[in-house]
Amino acid sequence: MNKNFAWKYVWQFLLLLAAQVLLLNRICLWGYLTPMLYVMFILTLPFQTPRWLVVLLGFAIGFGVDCFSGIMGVHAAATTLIAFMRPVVINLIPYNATLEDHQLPTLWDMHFGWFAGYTLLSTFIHQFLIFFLDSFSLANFFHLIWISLINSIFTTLLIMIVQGLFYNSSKRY
Amino acid sequence: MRNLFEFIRRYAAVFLFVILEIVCLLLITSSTAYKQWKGGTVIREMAGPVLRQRAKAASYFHLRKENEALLDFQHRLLQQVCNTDLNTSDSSITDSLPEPLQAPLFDYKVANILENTTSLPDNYLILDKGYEDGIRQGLGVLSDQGVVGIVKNVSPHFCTVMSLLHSKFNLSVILKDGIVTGVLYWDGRNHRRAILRNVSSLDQIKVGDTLVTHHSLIFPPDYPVGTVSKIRKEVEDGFYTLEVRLSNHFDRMTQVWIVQNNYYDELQTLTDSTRHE
Repeated sequence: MNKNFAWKYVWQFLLLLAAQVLLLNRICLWGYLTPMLYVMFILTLPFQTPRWLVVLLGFAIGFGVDCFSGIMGVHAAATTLIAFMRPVVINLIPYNATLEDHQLPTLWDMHFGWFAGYTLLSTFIHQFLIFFLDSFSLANFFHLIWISLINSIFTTLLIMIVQGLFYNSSKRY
Repeated sequence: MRNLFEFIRRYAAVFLFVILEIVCLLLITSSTAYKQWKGGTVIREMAGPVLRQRAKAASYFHLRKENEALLDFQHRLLQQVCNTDLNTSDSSITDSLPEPLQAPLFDYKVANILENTTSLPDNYLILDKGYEDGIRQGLGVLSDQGVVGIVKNVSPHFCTVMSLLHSKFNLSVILKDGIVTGVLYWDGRNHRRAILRNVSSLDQIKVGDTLVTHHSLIFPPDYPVGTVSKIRKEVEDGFYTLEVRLSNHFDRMTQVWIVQNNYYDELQTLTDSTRHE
């Protein structure tokens, strides 16, 4: 991993955190839809990133979002979990081609369907844990599932739009 | 020894994951530990200015609605002033009271909202007033449209508020111009709707009736809370349940008032001593 490459991720970390805290946390469609764009940072880290580093970065960005919300630890816990589960989710979604070294888990590098499944599953786990930790009960279980699903679809759409607009295929490097 | 290091290196991710999740769970569950933890205050004090700038920028988008609400509120105040003048044109009554009682019962402080959630099962707000402004735990929070919540945690310059949209929030309310009372709580579904339970009779209630705050040490009496939107016919333990449309738009507030009952401590000790007799 060369130096430019690492800086790119530092900027991405800061930009996504700022966008989440300053802009997206204000969005609350119909009272409960808030897109969690910052999850994209964890999802698009290179395949070769060591697992412990992904977990640590997941905790870091989640904790960053927590600092600007009322309850500490909720976002950090959810993001740490999906960071840890990332290899599992990657292996769970079938990919019918051999991975090349330069490939990243992004929209342009992978198939559309693979990326959609990967993002949707990850954001669903993330969202479910956030809602669950906030209420700390499974009393409204189906309601919980329902809003997690809606919210993760919404987040996935937003992540894809952002990727479509601002990302290129890494083959151009 | 080398085997041990090898073992730790191989499962570094798992160890890290478990440790970090435990840290998170500790942070979430022990809100008191977080309050006492110095770092928590530091973080909140650091995040405050950022949130304040954001709130400043965002408040421009609501100016129009804010204006309308203010005009509406002004109208209500004017009406109240007119009524009071008619009722007590004789000011000698208040003049003859001992001095402490001439002070108004409730004090109001304006606060800006820095963070406000409506989407969670337990919602909260962060305001830009803290204990250096005389804010303490348990004070009521109102908007111009209705009841907002109760102050929960206080740092030097900021405080968090348990929103009415919180599963642990209960509010005793009464039908305006009526005698029917009930307990209001939020079922976590819709930020415009709450549930009123423990209603003893449906005789005087119809859809569209206004509900206001009952006598309480925290909120001033007769402050609007919402209107009855649906009457549920089924009876639970002899009580009826109503659905209430909240008068406050929780997603559109930018400023609120923190209400302080000037005789809270006095009244509280009096109540406690009566109860324990």
